[in-house]
Amino acid sequence: MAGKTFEIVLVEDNFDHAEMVKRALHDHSLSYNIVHLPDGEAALNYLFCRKAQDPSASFVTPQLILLDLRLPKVDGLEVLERVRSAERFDGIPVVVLTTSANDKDIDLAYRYKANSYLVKPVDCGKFQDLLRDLGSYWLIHNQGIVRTVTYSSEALE
Amino acid sequence: MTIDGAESKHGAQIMVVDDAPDSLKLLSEILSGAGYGVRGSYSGLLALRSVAVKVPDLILLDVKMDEIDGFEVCRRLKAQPASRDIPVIFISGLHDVHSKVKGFESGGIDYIHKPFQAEEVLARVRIHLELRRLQMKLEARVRKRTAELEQAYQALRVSERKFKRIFEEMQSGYLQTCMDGVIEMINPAALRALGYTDAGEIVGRNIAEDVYARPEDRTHLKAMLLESGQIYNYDVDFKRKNGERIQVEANVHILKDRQGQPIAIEGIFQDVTQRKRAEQEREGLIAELQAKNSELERFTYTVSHDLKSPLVTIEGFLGYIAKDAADGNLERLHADIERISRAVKTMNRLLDELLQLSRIGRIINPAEAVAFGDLAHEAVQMVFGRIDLRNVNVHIEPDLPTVVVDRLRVRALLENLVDNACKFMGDQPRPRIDISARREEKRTVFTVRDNGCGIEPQFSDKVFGLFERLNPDVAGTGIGLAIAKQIVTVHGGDIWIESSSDGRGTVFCFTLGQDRPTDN
Repeated sequence: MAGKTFEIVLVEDNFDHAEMVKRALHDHSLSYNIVHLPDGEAALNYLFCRKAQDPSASFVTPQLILLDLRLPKVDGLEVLERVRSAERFDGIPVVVLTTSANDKDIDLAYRYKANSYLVKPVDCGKFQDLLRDLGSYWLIHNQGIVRTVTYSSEALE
Repeated sequence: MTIDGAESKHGAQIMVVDDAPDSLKLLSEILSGAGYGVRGSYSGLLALRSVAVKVPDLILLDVKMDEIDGFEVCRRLKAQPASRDIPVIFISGLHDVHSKVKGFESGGIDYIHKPFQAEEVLARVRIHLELRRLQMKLEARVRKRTAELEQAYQALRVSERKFKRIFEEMQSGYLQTCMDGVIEMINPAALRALGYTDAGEIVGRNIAEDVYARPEDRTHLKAMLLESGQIYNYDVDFKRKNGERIQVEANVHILKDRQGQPIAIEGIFQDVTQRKRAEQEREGLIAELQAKNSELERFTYTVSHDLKSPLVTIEGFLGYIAKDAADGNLERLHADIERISRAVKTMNRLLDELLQLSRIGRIINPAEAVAFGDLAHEAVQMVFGRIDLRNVNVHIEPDLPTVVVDRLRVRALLENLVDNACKFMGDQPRPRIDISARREEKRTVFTVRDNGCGIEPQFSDKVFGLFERLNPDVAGTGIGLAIAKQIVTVHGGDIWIESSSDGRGTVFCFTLGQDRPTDN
């Protein structure tokens, strides 16, 4: 377990919240590489290797995707739907992390097959605990799918 | 002298009138021997008096008498209503035809010759009594039947009057036509509904041509009726005398004759145009209400989210600040305080703009004539801070038209658009904003053009949606353009984005509901 770096994709339009997630995950012993995407369109571009900024970069499948629901350009639910219906993300947990505790949102998130639904707490301590638990659960306790496939940055849609 | 006989077994009373005592006696004996009650009289006058007292069932009358003869007696009997119907049989020695005829002419019903045979007399008496009895029975029956008919007739008249009253006064229209559609009967309510004043105007015309809005509807109705005999709540359109269409609901029946052949069609209808219109309106209002409700729901949800986000930030970074301060770790203190400050400002701006948005719908200042150019200059002044910050060159076209608008709102609109343009200049080295107007055939289109980072075409509608923020890098609440749209809508205009001619930047276009050409 030591020395292993976990790949996490964080789709979050609020930069302050993204910073909070990064700090919360950093403060614990596990090592993460967090790819932060600020809107739905950028998320899809990255995850499905469209319009790669760096042509020589190879895409690494993340072990966890954290997804906010309300995103500019392309909505969080649409990103969720696309990701869940793509074979390459089978077995990769997609966890919704959002401010909304609305019933309809929760229902829709599960309808589109989110693995989990978390509401951002309005409390620094609780926020940190949540993210630490989140990381531990999905990346340590949970047996993730074993996948060593890497994709080149040619469009694979 | 009168001889009164005892009541007979038959119950029949016979009067014998003969002035010859032997003849009288003989007849009386014959008759009483046969069981009849007999009253004898030897004088015509006496006989008449006796009849006046009590009416016999039959009279045997001798012709040849002194004082007055039998024919005269008979005539007198027939002249009185009480005695008119008593059968009179003449008994006479006069056998000539002339006498017989005279006898029948005076009202007698039979003529027995003298000398007479007992059997003959009895036979004739019996027959005539029987005839008389039957006649009386018949008369009684007729009287009874007449009384019944009279009663029935009265009842019918009452019913007729009732029907007539209902027909005349009921609010529903009544129409009766023959099978081919020729109008036979129409009531006042129907006349009123169809806009006629006199039944004569429409009776005799064909309902399919003159009353049905679409003649084929009547064909259809007739087919249905022939199948089922009646239809309830049939919805159809009629036309009034002036051509105006009305919606009508009818109950229709086929009338058949005794053999079951259809002979007429009758219908009772009501003008439901108002009701239908009210129903439609109600449905429209309900749909509108539902739409408004879901809009409100969406709005509330979005607002709560957008207010919650900054709170998460504030609380989160307060925690870090506290921890860092306690640890003596000052590196990120300043940056974190900044974050909190920004979050608070965001919330503040959000609340302000929400307030503004809610006011636009509610409070409208009276429209006044103002030069659009002046408004543009004022707006630029208000947004000066951001313009200066980004070094934007703002150019306002001269000779812009005068508009009649809510001055403050349209200025706010322009502030919004200019502010928006400045924020989205991106990395443009020579940022420029142009405010101008162009005249089209039926309207004036105002434009605010920038050469900034532009908006992708697929988002050009979304951008006016409440809380839609296309670029998360740029600080904004996502309300500014929604406010712009509201202001334009309230003035009866439209707002949209056109692609710029050189492919860079954005052109916001809007109208302000000024349909007439404005004068400068």
